[in-house]
Amino acid sequence: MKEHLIKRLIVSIPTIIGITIVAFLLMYVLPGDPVDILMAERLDPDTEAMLREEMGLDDPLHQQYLTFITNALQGDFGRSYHTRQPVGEMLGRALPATIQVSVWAYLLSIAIGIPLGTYAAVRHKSWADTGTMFLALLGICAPPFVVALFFLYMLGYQVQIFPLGGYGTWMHMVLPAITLGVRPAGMLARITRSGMLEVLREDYVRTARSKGLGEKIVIWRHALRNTMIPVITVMGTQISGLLSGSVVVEAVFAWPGIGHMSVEAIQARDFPVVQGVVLVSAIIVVVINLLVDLSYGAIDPRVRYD
Amino acid sequence: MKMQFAKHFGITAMALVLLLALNSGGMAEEPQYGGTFHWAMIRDVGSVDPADAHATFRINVVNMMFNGLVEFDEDAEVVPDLAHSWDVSEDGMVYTFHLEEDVYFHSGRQMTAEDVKYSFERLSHPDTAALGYWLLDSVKGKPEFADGEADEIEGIRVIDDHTVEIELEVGDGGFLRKLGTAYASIVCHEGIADDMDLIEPIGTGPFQYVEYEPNEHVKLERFDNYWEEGLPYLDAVQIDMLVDDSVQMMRFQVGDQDLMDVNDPMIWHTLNADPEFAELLHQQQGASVQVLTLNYQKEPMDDKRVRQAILYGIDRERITEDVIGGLGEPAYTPLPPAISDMLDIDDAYGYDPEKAMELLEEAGYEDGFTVEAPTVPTVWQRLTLEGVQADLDRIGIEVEVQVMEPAAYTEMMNAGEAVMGNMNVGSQMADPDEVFFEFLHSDRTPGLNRAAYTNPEFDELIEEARETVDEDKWLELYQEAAEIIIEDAPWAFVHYPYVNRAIAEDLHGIRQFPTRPDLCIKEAWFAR
Repeated sequence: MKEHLIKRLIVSIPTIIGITIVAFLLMYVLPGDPVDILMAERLDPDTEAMLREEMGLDDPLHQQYLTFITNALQGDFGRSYHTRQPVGEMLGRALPATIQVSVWAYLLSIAIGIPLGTYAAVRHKSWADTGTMFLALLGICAPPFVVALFFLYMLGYQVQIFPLGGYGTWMHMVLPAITLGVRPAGMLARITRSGMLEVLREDYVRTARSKGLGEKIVIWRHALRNTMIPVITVMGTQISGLLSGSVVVEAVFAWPGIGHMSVEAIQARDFPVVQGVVLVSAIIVVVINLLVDLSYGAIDPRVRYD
Repeated sequence: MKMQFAKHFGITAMALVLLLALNSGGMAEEPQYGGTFHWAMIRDVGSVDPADAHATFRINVVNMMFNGLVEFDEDAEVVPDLAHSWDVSEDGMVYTFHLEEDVYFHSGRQMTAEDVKYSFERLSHPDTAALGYWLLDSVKGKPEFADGEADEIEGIRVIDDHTVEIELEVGDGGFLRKLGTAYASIVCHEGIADDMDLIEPIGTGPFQYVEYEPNEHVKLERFDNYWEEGLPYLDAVQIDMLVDDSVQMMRFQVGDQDLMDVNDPMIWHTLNADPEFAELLHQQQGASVQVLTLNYQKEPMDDKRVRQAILYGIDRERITEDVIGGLGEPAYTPLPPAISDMLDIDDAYGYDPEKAMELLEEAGYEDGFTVEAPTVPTVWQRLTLEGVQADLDRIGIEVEVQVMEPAAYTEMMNAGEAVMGNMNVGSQMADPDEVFFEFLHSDRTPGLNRAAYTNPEFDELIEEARETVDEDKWLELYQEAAEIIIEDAPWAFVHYPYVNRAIAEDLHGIRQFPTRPDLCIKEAWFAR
C-alpha cells in the first residue's frame, strides 16, 4: 500500500510538469500579445519596451519557463501583468472560494443523487422511476448558465430570498452551490440507479432477502455498498468537473474563484496567472485521482494494491 | 377667436408658472449627507494605482480617491483642480502651477509642491512600470531620469510649498490635457514602497480607501478632511466586481445598485420598456468613435474610391437607431465628439448609395467584392459590423463578419493583416494627438495604425502640431490634418457610442464627462 502510494506520487511529478509545459507553450502559441492587450489604446514604443523588460518577456522562452518553474517550487508564482499582485496571493484568495462552492455543491450532489438513484432502482419501471430519471436527465442537460440565471431570477429577483450574486455570507453560497451541484447530482442518480439495478439481480441480494433481512438493510447495507465502485469513480471525475464547471457559475454569481480568474487571465494573456492556476489545478486533480484510487480499497476489500 | 387664444394662452401661462414653481421647489432642495453609493462592474478593476489607470473603468475608481493639478469639465475643457491657477511662459515652455493651500492627504499630511514632484517622478520611473510612463515625455530631463542618468527630473522644480514649475524640453500643445489624466494624480509617498509599488492608494480625493478585494469589491469611505468645502455628500462607496450585465439589471431593479452602465441594447430596451425605469435612463456623449479600418496597403482598400464608396454606402442613421438601438449617434467625422467639437469639421460622407456604386464602378469594382472583417464579441461592436454588412451588401460589397477572441483580434489588427476591421477609437483627454498620432501616424504601423495609413504630408503635419504651443496654430494644424483624413478615408466612421447609464431616482448630483473619467460622484447625494 505504502509502496503503491509512493510509486503513484513519483509518477505524478512528470504528469504535473508535463501539464505546465503544455500550458506554457499553449499560451505562447496562442495569438495575442500581453503587452499590447495591457496598453490597449496607447502603444508608445518606449513604454512597451520598458514593460517587456519589466515582465521578462524579452528572455528566451526556455529561460522564461525555467524561471517560472524554479520560482514556483519556492512558492513564488510571479506577479500578474494586469494587477501587479503576486499570483500566490491571488490564488490564496480565489482557490478557497472555488473550493468552498465546489465542496458544498459536491455534498449536495451526493445527498441528492445517491438516494434518488437508489429510490429509482428500487421502484424500477414505475412512474417514480421515470419521473426521477427525467429530473436527473434535466439536471445533466440544462446548461449551467441557464440554471444559474433561473435560480437568480426566481429566488433572488422575484422572491428576493437570496442575494443577487456576490460573496461573503452563507446566503451568498446557496444559489451557486445548488447550480453547480445540479449536474453531478443528475449524473450520480443515473449511475447509482444502473449500478443498483445490476446488484439487485445478484445472488447475494436474493440470499439476503431469503434469510429474512429487512428490505432497508438489504438495499442500504448490502446492495448500495456493492454499487459504490462505479459511483466513486464518477464522483472522482466530477471533482475536476466541478472545478471547470465553476467558471460559468462564478461568472453569473460574481463569485471570486479561480474559474473566473483564469478566464480573465487567458483573455488578457496574463501568463503568470494562467500558469499558477494550471499548476495548482493539476496538483488538485492528481491528488484527487489518487485519493479515489485509494478509496476503492477501503470500499471493496477485493481491491488490493500489493 | 381672440378670446379663445387668450384663454388658451392664459391656461398655458398658468401651467408654466406652476411648473416653474414646482421645478424651483425641486431645485431648491438642499443636498443631503449620508448613504452608500452602490455600483458594479462587469470586470475587475485590477488595480487602484493611478499610474496604471489607463481605461475608463479603472480611471473612474481612481478618480474618487485622487486629484490632479487640473481636470476636465463637462465640455472637455481643462479646469483647475489642485492647482487653482497657472501661468505659462511666453514661449509656452514653462508652466507655473499655484496650488490650493489647505489640501490634505487621507493620511492627514498636508499636500505640498514636493508631492507633485514626487508623483510625476514616480510615474516616470521605470521601476513603477507604469502604463502612463509616456505621459511626461516632453518634460525637460525626463529621459535622463528614466534612463537612470539623473536622480530627479530637471524640468520639475519646487518653487515653494504651493508653487511648482514645469519646464518642457519640446513644445507640447497637449501638455495641460495630459495633466488632467488620472495618470497625473498626486499620490502620497507614504503609500508607495521603496521599489515604487503601491502599498495603499493615499490621495487627496473626496473618498478614502478602505479595501480592495480583487474580483470582489472596492470599498471607500468619505474623507472628512476633503479640501473642497462641504464635499462629498456620500458616506461610502461600494463597487462590486465581476457582476454580469443581466445581474446588474436585476440589482438595479430591486434597488441594490444605484448606478448601472448599460452596454447591451437588449438591457437598455428592457429597462426602457418599463415606465418605472425608463425615466432613469441617461445618455451622455462618449469619448470614442466607432470606425471601420480600411487597410491602405491591401487590395481593394488601397484605392481611395473604394474607401470613399464604403463611407457613402453606410446608413449611419439606420445603424444607430435600428441596429444598436439608439446607444450612440451617427458619426460624420473620424474624431471622438469632444475633439470634433474643438475643430471646425463639416459632416462628411452622408448616406448616398448611388454615389457609392458610381465610385465602385470607377474603381473597376462594378460587380462588387467580398471582404472579411474581424470584430470582438462585444454586443454593440458586433452589431455595428452587422449593420454595416447589411448596408454594404446593397452596394455589392459582401462583408464576412469574423467574431474573434479579443486577444487574437488585437494581434491580427495590430499586425495590419485585416483588410477591413472594426475598431473603437477612444480619447482619454480630448487631445487630437491621441487620435492622430497614436492611430494614424505611419510610425504606429504595425500597431494601432490598423489601417496601415501612410501619408508623409499628414505625418509632417501632426509631428509639427504635437510640438506647437500656440493654441490657434495648434488647432489650425489639426484642422488641416482632419481634412486630409476625411479626404483619404482610411477609416469609415460609423457612430459615436454614448455612455449609457441607469441612475437611481433618488441619486442626484452625478456628473458625467466626454473624457475619462466619464463619471464623478463627489457632488452626488441621495434624497432619502
